[in-house]
Amino acid sequence: MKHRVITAPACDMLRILRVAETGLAAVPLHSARSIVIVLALLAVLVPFLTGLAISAGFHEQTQLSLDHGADMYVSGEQFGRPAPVEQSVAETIRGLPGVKSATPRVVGRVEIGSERIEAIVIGISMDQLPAQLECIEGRLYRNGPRNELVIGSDLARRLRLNVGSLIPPFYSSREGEHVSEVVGIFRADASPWQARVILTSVETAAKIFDQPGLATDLIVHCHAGYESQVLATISRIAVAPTSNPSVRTRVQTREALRANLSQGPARREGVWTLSSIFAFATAILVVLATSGIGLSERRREVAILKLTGWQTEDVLLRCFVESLAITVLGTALAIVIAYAWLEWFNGYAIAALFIPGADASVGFDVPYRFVPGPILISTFIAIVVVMTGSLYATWRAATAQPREAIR
Amino acid sequence: MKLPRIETRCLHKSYQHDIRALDDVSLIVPDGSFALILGASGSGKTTLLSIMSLIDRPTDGSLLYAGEDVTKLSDAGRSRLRRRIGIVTQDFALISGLSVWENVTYPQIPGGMARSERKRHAEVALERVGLTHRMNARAQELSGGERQRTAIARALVGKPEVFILDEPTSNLDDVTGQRVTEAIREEYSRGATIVVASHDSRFEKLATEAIELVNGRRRIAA
Repeated sequence: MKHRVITAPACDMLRILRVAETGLAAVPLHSARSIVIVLALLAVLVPFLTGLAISAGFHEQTQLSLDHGADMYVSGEQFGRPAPVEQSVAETIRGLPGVKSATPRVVGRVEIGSERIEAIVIGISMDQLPAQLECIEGRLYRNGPRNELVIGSDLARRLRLNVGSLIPPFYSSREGEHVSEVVGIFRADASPWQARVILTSVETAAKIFDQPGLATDLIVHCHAGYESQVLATISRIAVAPTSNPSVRTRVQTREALRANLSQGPARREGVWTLSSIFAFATAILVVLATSGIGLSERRREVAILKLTGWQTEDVLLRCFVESLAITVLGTALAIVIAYAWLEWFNGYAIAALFIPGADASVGFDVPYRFVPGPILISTFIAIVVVMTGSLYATWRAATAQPREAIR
Repeated sequence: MKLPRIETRCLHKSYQHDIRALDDVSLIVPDGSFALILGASGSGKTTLLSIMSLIDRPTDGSLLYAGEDVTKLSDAGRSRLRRRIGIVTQDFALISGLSVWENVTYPQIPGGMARSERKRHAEVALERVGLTHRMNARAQELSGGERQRTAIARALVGKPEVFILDEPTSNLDDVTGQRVTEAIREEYSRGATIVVASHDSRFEKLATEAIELVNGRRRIAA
């Protein structure tokens, strides 16, 4: 009869395999402990992953906006802060070689209604609106000072406005108070930037903010290859309003804005990560405490294994595999729940942390993107957290005399 | 190392508050013999067996297996040695969430034995103690006697060279007790060295050595 010879390394592999199997079987065997650890991991990982996915989503949206935005934004600067410019300067810039278009834009914040709901008024020439923007009700505004407003569906719902609604004077200017009319409602759930937006003509917007003839900035598109030349020329043009000649010219290029991106979503992401580190630290304590669940039973079990001839390394391997399985389970569940939270519950409550002034329920599709980096980092941290809580206690139990735990 | 001959030299074991469980116990259990440890409750039998089965360390003195002092052996060395000893403790030391057959063959896992093979081994060992019908029951579902028989089957399964058994029949009825005694006798006949602490008269008939403890000290027969 032929005998199969098992070599030493193969024997070692078999040993590792069999012991590892018992580690997997130990997850349901210690069900209470496993559940508590998975819950502790979920409590930390779900908000962490959800937050970072939202942050990455906003980052992506910002990139897209920049990619599809203008080549340059010309504004004034006073005391190191942005200041309005003369709308008429757009005409001068349009005449420069290499300039495709230059359009004035008015952007500002207002509060409307008895609840003083915050909204952003954007005054821009109708032909500069994105092609994909369409009204689900009514029509787009007409250029000129007609007090015609087109509002986002979310804002319309909150303010209970329909096409034809007249908004009582929510501003007063030197020309007196004005009643505005809602002429159209556009779908505002496509992009975060369209939430709570009121679109109108430059002239109407300038009246709303009582800045006739002025614009927040000028949007400049250049012919390819002319950007640096146009930038140099515009920087020498005076944009200051006649009423405030000390205002200097400020030009922000697409590249400069891209470089500043880190001060926006990335800064929030940083704050979020920092908060999560504290949460992880708390989780370590929780897991250390939960390792105490059934600790005497666990010590007894380890003692029994040692009594029956298990080596400390076998006991540790079993515990390692058990902890790893719990961590992988916890992390996988966290990813699924984070995905469900964003996909099906639109980041309820958590999205507001990344959108200033937003309520728990956001009126647009919250952008999100799961990137591998944070997932891998959080899995690694989770493994460290769970291992810290389990391996040390097991090693202590495995190196003690079995009689002490069994007695 | 050829295992069987067991020797203790001036063993002392003290617990907290200066309680002396063993006091200067020296003995020799020759290769292939059947040693019966006798003594009243609290005389130190369990402590002696715990030290002999390497699940506890003496405060002083030495334990020798085949002439080699194993008292100062490393943790790994003691585990290796324990694999060659069939141990039954008074509380049976079973893992409650596992089934009877899994408890019986858990010591064989680090040996790399496949699950199906382990189950077969368990079946044979459980047959010897009359517990095959309960092999899939969880340890926590067992009666005291069944737990005891499970622990004995676990000691039997690896065919060890030494058996150290603490009251192995204390919870068993006459018929089952006889069956377990028979299994132990078979191991003795096979050449294994047996050390049993028991008041069971059936072991007295088998014993080749009798060691009596009184208040932690060995009583030397006149």
